[in-house]
Amino acid sequence: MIDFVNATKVYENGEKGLLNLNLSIERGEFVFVVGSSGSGKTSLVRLLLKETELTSGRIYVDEQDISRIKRRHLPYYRRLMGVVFQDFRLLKNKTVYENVAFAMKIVEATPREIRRAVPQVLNLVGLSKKAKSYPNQLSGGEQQRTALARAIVNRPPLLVADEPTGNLDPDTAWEIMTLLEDINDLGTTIVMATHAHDIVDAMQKRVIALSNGQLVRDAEGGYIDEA
Amino acid sequence: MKPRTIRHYVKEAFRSLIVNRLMSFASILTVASCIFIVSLFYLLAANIEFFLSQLEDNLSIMVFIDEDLPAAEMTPLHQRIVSLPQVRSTEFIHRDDALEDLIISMPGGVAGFDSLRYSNPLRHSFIIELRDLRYHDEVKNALAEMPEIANIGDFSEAAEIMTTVRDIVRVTSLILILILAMISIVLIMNTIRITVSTRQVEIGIMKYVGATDWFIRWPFVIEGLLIGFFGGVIPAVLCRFGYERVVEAIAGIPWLNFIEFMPGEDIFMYVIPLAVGLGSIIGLIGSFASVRRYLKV
Repeated sequence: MIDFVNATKVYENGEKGLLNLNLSIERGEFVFVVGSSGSGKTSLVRLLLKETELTSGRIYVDEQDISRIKRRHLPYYRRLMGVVFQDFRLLKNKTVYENVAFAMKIVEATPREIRRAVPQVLNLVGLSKKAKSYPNQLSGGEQQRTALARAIVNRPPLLVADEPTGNLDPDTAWEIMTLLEDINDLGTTIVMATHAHDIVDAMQKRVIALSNGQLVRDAEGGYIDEA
Repeated sequence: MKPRTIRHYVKEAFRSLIVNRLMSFASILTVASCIFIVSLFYLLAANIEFFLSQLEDNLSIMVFIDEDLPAAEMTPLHQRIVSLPQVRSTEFIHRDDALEDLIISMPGGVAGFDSLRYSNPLRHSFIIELRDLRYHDEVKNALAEMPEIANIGDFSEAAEIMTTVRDIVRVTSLILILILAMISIVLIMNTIRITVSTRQVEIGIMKYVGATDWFIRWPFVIEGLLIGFFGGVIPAVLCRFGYERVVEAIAGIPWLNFIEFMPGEDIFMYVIPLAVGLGSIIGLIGSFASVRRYLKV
């Protein structure tokens, strides 16, 4: 599903994002990307989203070299993946229902498809009763669940989550993780960048540990502090 | 583009106008103020032009025909004058009619001038109206070459002054309107840019969710168009109704009532489309250009 081949990212100010990273993520996997601040987690996510370009090397997503994707085709590439951020990034002037429906309108889904899919996905994330609420009327967990619903409503094969539990209390964080696991069980590949030791330790999934932009560990199991 | 997508764009544009009503209102007000000033200036310039053209109509060349010219040659002469491209119209005045007019206009009336009717000293004449005052000298020279014409009633100096005044008014008003329009465009574009920049985060989110640039841009462009349109309608309406009031008020002032104003329907045939069109186009271009810089996410 995802291949990083000698992927290197050096920013204009000389800061190293990734250094010669080689790794493969298979379809249907649940992968944690861990590491301290500045380790390269965010660079990895930004590169996957094609928010920034590699300095050298290649990244293949669904067998396509993403460095070759032209700017005008970028939206179509991004539709391959759902994205969840630490700060939720919901459209504040839209209700929960509209935020989720918006992702479907972008892909020109019919009103009937929207009417059918949005309630289903809101039910999945447990927000059916909050469909008409605006983001500022929701708790952090509810906002993140809305973001999750938006990320999966078009059934993308890949979900990229950047510190999705970073702003949440432990109980709510676990609710989100349970949801992510459910989504993964449905076949969606999940790449999640996180700091949360307890979650990584408890989930016992594949962990890719980065330090100074380099891969220092790639194994099943828990978090390694040295990373 | 599917109809439901167009509906989505229009709905989003209206929704955004309402949700961001304070900013929308400020933008509309800015557009309206700028276009109001441009429209006012246009009204002023058009009326000065109109007033001058009224004065121009009273300036015409008068030529007096040689008294020895046989009557049969009068028509060919008339045709030669009319065929000059700079001439708009001519009016033939028979020497007897000219005399009657002269006698009537005399302070003492008919008495004392009656004898003139038996030996009319006046000549036949033509009143020649020009297409434009600037042709005065050309026409005068052409007429001077016609031997049948005995004398040319000249108003070179007046024509020159009028032409100069009119040219100054035209050039000045054009330059001022252009400057005002440019200032308006910059002001309006900045206002719309602020409107768009407040929604930078929103645009970024749309990009991450996979929206194409045009999917994001259309509602903003329509919103900008609506801001510009409403911003154009307000000064158009204000000017339309205000104009009549001002004209009536000036007509009521005794020392100013000699001024003739352009009829409302004539001038607003241009001002309304100008105001609304200018507003809409500026709104459209302003929003298009403003969204562009936030799309590079």
